[in-house]
Amino acid sequence: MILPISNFNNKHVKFTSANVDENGVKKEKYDKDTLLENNFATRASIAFDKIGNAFTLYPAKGIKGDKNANFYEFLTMGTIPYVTGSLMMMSVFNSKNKVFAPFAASKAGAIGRKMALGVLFYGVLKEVSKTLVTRPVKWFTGVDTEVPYAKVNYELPDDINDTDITSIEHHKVFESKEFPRWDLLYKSEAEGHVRNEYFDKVAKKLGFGENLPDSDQEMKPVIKEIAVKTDLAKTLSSYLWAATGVMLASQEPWDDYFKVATAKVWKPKEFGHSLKVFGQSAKKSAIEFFNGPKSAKGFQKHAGKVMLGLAALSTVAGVLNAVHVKKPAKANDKVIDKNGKYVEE
Amino acid sequence: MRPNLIQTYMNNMPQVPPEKKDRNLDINHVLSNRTFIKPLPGNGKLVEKNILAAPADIAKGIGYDMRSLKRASKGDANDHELGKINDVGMKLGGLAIAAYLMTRKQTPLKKAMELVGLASFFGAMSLWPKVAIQLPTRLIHGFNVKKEYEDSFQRQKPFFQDPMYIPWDLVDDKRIHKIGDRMGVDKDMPNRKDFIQEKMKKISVQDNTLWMLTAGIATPIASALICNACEKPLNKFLGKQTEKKAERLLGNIGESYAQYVDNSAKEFSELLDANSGRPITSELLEQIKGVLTQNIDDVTATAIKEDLDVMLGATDKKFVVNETVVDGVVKTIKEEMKGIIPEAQIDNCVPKSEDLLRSLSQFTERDLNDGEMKKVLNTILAATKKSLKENNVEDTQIQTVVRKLVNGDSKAVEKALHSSPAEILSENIVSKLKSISGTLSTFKAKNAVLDEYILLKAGAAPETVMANAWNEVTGDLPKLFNLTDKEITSIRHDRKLTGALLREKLEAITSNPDEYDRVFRALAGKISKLEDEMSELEIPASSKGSYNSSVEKVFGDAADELKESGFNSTARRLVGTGDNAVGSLKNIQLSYSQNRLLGVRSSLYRMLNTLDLFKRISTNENLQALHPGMKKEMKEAIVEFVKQLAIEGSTSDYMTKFFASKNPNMAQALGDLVVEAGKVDNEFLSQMVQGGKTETPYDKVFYEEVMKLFYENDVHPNTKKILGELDLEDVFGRYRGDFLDNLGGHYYFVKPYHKVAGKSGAGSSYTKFLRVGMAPDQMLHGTIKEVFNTRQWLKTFGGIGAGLLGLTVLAQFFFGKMKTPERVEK
Repeated sequence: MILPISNFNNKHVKFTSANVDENGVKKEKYDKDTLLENNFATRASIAFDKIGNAFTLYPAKGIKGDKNANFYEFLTMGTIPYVTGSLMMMSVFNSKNKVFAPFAASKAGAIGRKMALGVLFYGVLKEVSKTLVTRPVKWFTGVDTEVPYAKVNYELPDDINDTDITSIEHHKVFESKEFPRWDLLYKSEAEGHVRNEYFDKVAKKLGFGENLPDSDQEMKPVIKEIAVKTDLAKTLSSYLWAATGVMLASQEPWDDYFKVATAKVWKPKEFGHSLKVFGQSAKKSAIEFFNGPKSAKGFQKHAGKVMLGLAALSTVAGVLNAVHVKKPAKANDKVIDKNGKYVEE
Repeated sequence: MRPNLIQTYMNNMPQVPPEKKDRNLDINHVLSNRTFIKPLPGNGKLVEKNILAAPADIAKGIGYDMRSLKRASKGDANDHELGKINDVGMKLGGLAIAAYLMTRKQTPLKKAMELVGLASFFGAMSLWPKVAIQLPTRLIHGFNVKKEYEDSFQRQKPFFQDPMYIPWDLVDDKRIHKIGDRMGVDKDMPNRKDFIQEKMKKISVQDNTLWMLTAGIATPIASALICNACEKPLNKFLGKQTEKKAERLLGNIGESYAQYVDNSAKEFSELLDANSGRPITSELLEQIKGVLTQNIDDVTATAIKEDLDVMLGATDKKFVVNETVVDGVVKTIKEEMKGIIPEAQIDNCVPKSEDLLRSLSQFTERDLNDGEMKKVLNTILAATKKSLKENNVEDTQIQTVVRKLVNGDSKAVEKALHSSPAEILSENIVSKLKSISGTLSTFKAKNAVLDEYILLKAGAAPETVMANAWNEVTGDLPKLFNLTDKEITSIRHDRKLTGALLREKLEAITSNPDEYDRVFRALAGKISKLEDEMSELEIPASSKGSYNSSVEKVFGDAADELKESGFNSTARRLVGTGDNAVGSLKNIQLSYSQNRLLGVRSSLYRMLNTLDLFKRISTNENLQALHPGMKKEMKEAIVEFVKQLAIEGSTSDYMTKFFASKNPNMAQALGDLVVEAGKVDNEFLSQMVQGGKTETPYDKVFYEEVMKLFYENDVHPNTKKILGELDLEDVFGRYRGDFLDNLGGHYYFVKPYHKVAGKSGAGSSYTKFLRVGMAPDQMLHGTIKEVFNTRQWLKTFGGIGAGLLGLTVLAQFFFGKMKTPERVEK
């Protein structure tokens, strides 16, 4: 239950949002919602933070039914079934093979390992393929639909002694297409920026012109349109690429790799050989996937090409659709006669 | 720094006056007199799901997804719609994977299982929270934690999705209080509704977390278990479809063959039309042979080629010599002279075409045979020599030229001379060949239908009607023989151990009358079903519409038509000569199904025969082979051997006439066998043999008695009764009789013409191999390996799944615990 606010003795309360503790040491990295650079370091740091919390803090809060558990935490915990599910899937296909008779074990192992590889490729290609959409969209339009920000969240204290009530969440500016965090995209005039700098840049890149009187108002619907279309392309294409990963992993030549596969990095010779064979198997598998197995007939022979083509098409068509934005009709300057005078009768 | 609103509020918070406890405060009165502007009333509502409306809901959902896709492609979609597109994408990707993997699988079941895998994965994803979380929470706490509501824009969302925003206004107080009653919340509690709502919220947060923690482990396991459960019924369903497909194919062979007609007849017709009226050169003949024998086996193709040679005059070839041929010869002679005669002189040294034609006048205007063509060649050579001499070419050079013209590596002059065969591809021949091509094309297509039918029905491939029936019988063996998990685990790697255990089981089963009846009836019942499914293959050719009659008709019709067209060799290859069809294609077609049936039937009846043998030994009945005059030690040796033979004997044991190891000096004592609990109490066999046992080759008596005991002595009365009930008595009797026929004979014995029970031992080695069939220990061992693998897997993952389900349900008993607020005293 929410505690009545009158129960607090404000003299005891020290919000971490004040960003310093009693000794004046900075406690939190952010004291307000902050736009972040979309670079590798930030993405890695966010991923690390989210995965860490998804497996530790958030489940601990959630399973207790913490009053501060929120939808963001629930969504972040969505990583758990992805990871555990992938591991379980690999286990379902492989873990019992060792107790089977040798022939059955080798047959089951050949299928199981490819399934496991498929699970891995599914995850990798699903994530990597998203950049095949978001990057070109950024290059062509100047709109980075993935730009992150840190959100400072104030929680309800557990009790009157709970002073640590700030939590940082990592969101994306265009996470919600209905309510993008436009406020974070405005620049500070106090810091010598033009307030609409971001919108001016996008307008220029998209050919809407320069020095628009209200670039933010003009560009917001356009940017929103790009974000929605990018999201569509990213979603659909990522699943098709992920599927392609599973298909690639199902090819026969991977058997060569599994014969020598090792993760023992401390044995450089074996590990190096394993990597080399991985490369060779990947190449052969890609060829087999594209051309179909030697014994293939009819559609079977072209199935790989069709699937690969579909995935590539979804990316290309998605990007083209995203960068193709509707330009609003130019406003008619003569709608309001600026020289006209209002005469009260 | 941005001012912290809460901090500011706290700092400037007015001192709260001591609480005035107005117990008569009427909150409804206060609220009804509010002066502030109220928000617009919401149009949301709770979604009441109804199983009957499920199809409509699904259709509505698909419609919404499609609209979302359309709006998103225009950049107009909202967050909810984009969320739905994620689900569409996931299913689309899954479908793509299943579709692709289906193309990599060969059999219908394997292909279908890819789709089942996809459906079961999504099914498991959706079922797990319903079964493991929604249902227990409803039973324990009394509310649906997965309840959905429709917002003012008709978007359906989970009610407890966002704990910071739960649309409580959509739930009436009565409903909340009812849930509170179910939760056991004190009825007199102040702010009871708030307390219940907080409790529900807490449970929903805990449930949602539990869902995330368990879904990853549960979904793959549940999906795999669903697949496992679906495989057998699906195989049954597909098996029936396969059978129907096979029957449809054969029943409509007159029409269904059309889809198997290849392009060769059209190609052949084009080739004939393009060359109609032209001489049949060897190149053209090869082309005709090549196209006409496309997709035909080598043996028949050879016969077709032979017939073509006869029809197109290749065996008695004749040629014509005309102006074109002579021009070609002159040109070739000039070419051949290069390098021997200076080029400037060549034209003068070669006889003119007109001169040559004059000297060959007696050979033109008619067909020439080989002898005449030799004379033509000699005339040309003589003319060339003369011409060379007239041009003062030296004798040595003339001889060199002549040698080259006659014996040159490529025999170019001879070839040029033979460039115009007398046989022409006349219209009559073209029409005849087209008719033959049509016959062969129809035959190939109809034969393809027969092949397809027999493959679906009895092919040596998985998921055929026969393979399914076989699996149905063998798959039940571990259960029939009461094998425990422990036993299966201990014998799974070793066929010998399987044999030993099987013997123990057989002895135990056959010493218990009820148990024997149960096992024998179950096994024979399944075999009887297989007999029904395979009976089609045994309907005699005289019965119209059967497989055998279709084979007779397809091959017979083709052979008749080919004979009429003069393709006698091919016709012979198809159906043989007169009544002798041995080695013909028709015979191969028929014997394939018969052999497949024989192999399967022998293996299964061998199991029944083994059961019966053990039963007769256990009950000491119908063991006529062990006649009273036989030494007791011999009886014991025979019984011990026959038990081993029944369980693990192979064709080579019969072929080598049981090169068995025995006591060469058996005790003379007579007597009956003593059997207890299915085991023979051996008086002599258990004793040490002085000097050791000896392998005895060609032991006629031993071989004969063993064969009689196993295959000739009457079956046990119980066996007879059950077989009679299942209408298997005749076929089982034939199996035993035929076995003796094929394997009871004298071959391999040093003493020729030795016969066992009057049988000669006819049949090829292949037939003998098929008659022996698969040994019971091998059959059981193969099944056990599969059963062990499946059980192991189920034990581990079924255990994890069940454990996880138990824990998930159990955890929910501890959810929603909240301290009841203390009552404020007056």
